[in-house]
Amino acid sequence: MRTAIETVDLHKMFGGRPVLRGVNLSVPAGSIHGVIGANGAGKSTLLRILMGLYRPSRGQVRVLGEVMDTEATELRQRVHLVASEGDLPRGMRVRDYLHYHRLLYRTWDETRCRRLLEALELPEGAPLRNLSQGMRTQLRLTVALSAHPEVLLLDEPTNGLDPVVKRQFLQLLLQEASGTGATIVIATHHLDDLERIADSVTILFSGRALASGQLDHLRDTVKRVQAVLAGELPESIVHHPAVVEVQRSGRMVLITVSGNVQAVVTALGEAGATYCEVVDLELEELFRHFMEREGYRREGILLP
Amino acid sequence: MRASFFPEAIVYKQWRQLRGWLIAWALFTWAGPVHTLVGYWTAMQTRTAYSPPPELLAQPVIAMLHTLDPHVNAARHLAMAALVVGVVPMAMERARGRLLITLAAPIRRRDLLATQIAICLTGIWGVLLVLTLFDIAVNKAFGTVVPTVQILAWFLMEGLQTTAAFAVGFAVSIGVGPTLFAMVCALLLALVPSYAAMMTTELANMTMHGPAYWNAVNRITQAVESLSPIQGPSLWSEHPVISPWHVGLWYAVWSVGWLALAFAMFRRLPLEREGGLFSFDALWDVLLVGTGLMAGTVLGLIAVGGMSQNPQRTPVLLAVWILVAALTWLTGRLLLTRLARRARRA
Repeated sequence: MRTAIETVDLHKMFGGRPVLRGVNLSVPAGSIHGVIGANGAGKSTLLRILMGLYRPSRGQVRVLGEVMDTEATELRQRVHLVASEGDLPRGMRVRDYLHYHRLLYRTWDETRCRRLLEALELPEGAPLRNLSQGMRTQLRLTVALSAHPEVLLLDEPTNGLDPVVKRQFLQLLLQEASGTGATIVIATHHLDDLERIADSVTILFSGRALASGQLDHLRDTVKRVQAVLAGELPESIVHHPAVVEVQRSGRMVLITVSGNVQAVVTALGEAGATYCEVVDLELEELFRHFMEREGYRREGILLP
Repeated sequence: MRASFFPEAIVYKQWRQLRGWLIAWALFTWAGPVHTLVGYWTAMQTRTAYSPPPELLAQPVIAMLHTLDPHVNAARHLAMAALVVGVVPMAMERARGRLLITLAAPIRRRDLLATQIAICLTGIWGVLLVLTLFDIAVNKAFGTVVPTVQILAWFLMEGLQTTAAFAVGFAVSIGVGPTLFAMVCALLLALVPSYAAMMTTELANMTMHGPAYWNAVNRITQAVESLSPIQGPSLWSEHPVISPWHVGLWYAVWSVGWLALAFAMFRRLPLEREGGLFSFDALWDVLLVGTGLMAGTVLGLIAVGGMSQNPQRTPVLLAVWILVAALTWLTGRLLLTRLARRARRA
């Protein structure tokens, strides 16, 4: 399968502080890839490097087979970033903003633009400064989809969207990836949204990619075993090297396993478990697992 | 193949962003002369038997034509306004992270800059041209108070001077983030020749020498001062130290130099530093040296306060001046290095 985005040993320093450390990324063309991570993990920086806005301190970035850098203007005809930050231009109305992009992109699709404006109910005559955050995001998405990009980079795209629009938005992304074969990279904290649409994910922590690959493959690395066990949990299970976490509530036992899950299932069977099932972790649990493995854990706060 | 869409898309966006400022520039430039003419016309309309004679009523218009000043000290005001116009285009792009969004589009950095410069300079020169035509028409109507060629010369010199002021504002706005701070920095840089002239006067310690020496120093300082686009040359002086046309040439070189610097800086501009005070680390050194020189001047002048007849005045002033500047730079550098180290550790 053709690779749309590829980074090799990507490093970025801000004022001597590492923000990205050796990130290797490979996103197949036509797929939806999620970039997730704690605050300050380097998600936005990664997307901006992919867009050629920031220069990497070290490493290589190739988008659609070409080297992406700050002067890759022609390549940016085919790649579009919907950024979470950055205000819309001053002194423009919605129609002016669309006209500007119409002039900018050779691949601009006016029919698509009209359809999206109608569906998203964006007021063409409204000054940009009067738009709510959600409407601004929708306008940016309208522009992005009307420009027919081959690669669409989205930084926190669902912020400020109500649940109805968010659903519509995710549906549009799915349509874009499956219909036109566009490659979509989404950096987000909304893991439930991502879980519904992403083919693959990269988990960033302090600028490092803890894991990267197909979502199904990542799910295979960590599993949860649900079992019903009357007696004590054998020490062999508690101290098994593959066991990450054990939770017990009455007879119900939940064991998070990273590695040889079959060994744990067998041990549970031998211990007399009456019911035993291996289930996939949800993306949020998977993410928490990787974060906790790195010592990133926040306890609940009890206010005085 | 040309990848960027200069001029249409960029021109469209920049024009929409900048037109308000260019209209303000036009109103500022035209307000004085139009007000003077309207004042005369109104006075003529309401003239009674007790009113001053028409020749007297026409005096403000005649004075305007003699000095060709749209405002009192027009050159300075227009130059400062042009400096503001120079800071505005990039300041508007940089406000609230807009530059990041702009450059995420298929736009070449140099095309963006070239468009901003082209729109602003067209506005600046266009407004001055209209004013010149207005002056020529009024001059004709009032019986050719000044030769037309003088008005045209004013137009050319004023254009070059405002362009020079614009250029320094434009270049500074690439390296300095906050708009007001960029304006102050640009103004200070544009006034460097005036500062050099002032320091020349102070270091020359004129009270220790005769009138011939004073005269020579005065001529030098006058010449140096006219190099500042904010001060401008004395256009109608009978014996200028430097011919206004040489000063005009200097402004042209100054403009080209600052605009070339703007292009070079913008090409290297690290977008990750958007929102910071300076876009480049080296600018901290410029700030420290500048602050040091100003502090050195103030402290040096205090130190030599009662030494006007003392031959040691110049060495003392020079020593304090250089010492304070060097110490300020050194202390500031150390402090910045320490802060950077602490930020890295955090």
